[in-house]
Amino acid sequence: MSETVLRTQGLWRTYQQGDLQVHALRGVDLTIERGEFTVLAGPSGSGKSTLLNQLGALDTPTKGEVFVGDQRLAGMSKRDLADLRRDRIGFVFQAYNLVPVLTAFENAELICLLQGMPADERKRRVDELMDKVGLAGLGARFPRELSGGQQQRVAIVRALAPRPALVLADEPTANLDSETATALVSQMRALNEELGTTFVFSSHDAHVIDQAKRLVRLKDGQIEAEA
Amino acid sequence: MTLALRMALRNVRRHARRSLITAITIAGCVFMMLLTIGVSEGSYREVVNTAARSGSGHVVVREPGADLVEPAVLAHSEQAMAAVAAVDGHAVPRLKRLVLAQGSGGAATVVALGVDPEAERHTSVLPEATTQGSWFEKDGRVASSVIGGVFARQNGLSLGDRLVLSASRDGQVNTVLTRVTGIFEVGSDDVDANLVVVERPVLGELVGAEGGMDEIAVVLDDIDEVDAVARKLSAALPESEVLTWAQAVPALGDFVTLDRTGANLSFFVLFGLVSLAILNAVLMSVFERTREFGVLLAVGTRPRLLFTVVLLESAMLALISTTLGAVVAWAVVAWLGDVGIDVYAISGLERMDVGGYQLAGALYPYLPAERTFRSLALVPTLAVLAALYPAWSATRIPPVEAMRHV
Repeated sequence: MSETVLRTQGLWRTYQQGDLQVHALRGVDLTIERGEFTVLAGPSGSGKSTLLNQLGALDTPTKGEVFVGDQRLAGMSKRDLADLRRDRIGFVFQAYNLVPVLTAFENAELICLLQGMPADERKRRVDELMDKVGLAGLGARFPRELSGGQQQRVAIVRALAPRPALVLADEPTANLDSETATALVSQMRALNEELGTTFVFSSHDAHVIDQAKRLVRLKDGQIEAEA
Repeated sequence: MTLALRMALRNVRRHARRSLITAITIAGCVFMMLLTIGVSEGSYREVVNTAARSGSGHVVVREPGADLVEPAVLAHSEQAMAAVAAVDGHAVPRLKRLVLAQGSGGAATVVALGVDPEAERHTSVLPEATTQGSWFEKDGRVASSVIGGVFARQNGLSLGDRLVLSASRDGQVNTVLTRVTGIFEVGSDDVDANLVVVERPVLGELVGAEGGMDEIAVVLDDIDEVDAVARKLSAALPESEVLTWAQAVPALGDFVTLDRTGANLSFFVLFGLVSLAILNAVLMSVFERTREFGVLLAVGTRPRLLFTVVLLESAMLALISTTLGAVVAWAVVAWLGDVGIDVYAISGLERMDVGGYQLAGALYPYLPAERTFRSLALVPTLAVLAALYPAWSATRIPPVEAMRHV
């Protein structure tokens, strides 16, 4: 029986630009089930990143609702939203966004550490994932000493180590060459199969779209098609 | 090491040049502050010692409420002498009365100090300051008096001249004839113009206090012990009054307090300006890390951690630079305290007074522990206060907007 990880209901996000109202999302209804490997595709300005921000409790909708599991995000305090992001959602960003003063290992264990996980358990999980994504032996390096692909792998380990129900990845391959991008998406797909973690991507990269189990096409802030 | 501490330490190292400039600014100000404290405390120490050794003592024991206008012989003098010996102080018994001093050139009311010349020789500046004649000599016929140089000039007195002291005894005017055998120059107009020193039995006979003492001037080897010794003596001598030099010579005590307060105020202003420099550096550093903080908040970091990191960065920078400035200042003050500063050679002045007392040739800076540590504590405290706003700003960054920040 399927389990709903994420659900939106009539989601609108409107920005005010001077006198102009820009509707980045217009009534999006989306349900994500456990174990999905979903790609939100569409051209620039279609609303992919805006939707991802709403799904990740990083932004507040103008209208509509977001549910993570059974939890309704509207009305939650900033602190509760921070705890929800920490405990239930993993993030992978386009620009890697590692903390420059922490080593690859320290970056990877960061969220586990914030959760209060014991050191030996953190080490076990991070070492295991670093090994899986080909970063074994690079834990002591700082982000500036790693290539873009390696940094993005560290970001993936950081997102997956706490074993969240959901990983949201915003254009994770946009800054990578095609070979690295393909390898990275394959690794995430393998982790999706192996660990059962739900992945939702935003991308217009063919390498990512080709690997999707489910493809949601956005246009002008609305779902245009699903496959 | 906690995550906050680790991040703060590495962030301080991350912008090495900026951290170094901020650290040098703080360390330089700490150095200047301690050097100023060292020089001023050195000058206070010198004049307080001069004041203490030329009359008041570092601590004075006397009858409650007694003064020059209403003098009283110390009732429990033996007990008081024993108590002073128990606290390792040099006890100098004295009679101190207002008398009329009349020489060939005129008469004036002066403070007559009745002393034990040998006891004074080891504790008082007066014997050493006696630049003409000598510190008491017995010719067996006439009592000796040693007078201040200003008093001598004002009254046309010189060595060998007669000086008649008059005072009331049992309702009658009593007189004693003395001969000027010594003239001293302490460097304080107050002392040099108003003090006449005779042997204690001479003054005792004049005022009817034979064998008695009005006060015990307690001279200490270490000026920093004044408050502790005064407390101990107060406890040991509940029926007597125990005063510190600052209470016994209020004009000098008030001067030192006022000077210290003024200096502390200027340090506060100085470090207020340094705090603005710290505020600027920390704000800039927070602004540069907007994206980084946004990401940390996005992945679930509680704002409190970011707040702590920013405060720790500022505190660390302040602690490191304060320590650096303090160590260098301590070394310089210790060296100057050893070799002395020739203030007259530097300033070109012929006379410099502090609180009414003339500075001797060289000044020996020193740093009293309590004032030094209290002043040093100001620096990290202000640095942390200056970082409060940037730290708060870091927690207010909306993650979504921050991640768009380049």
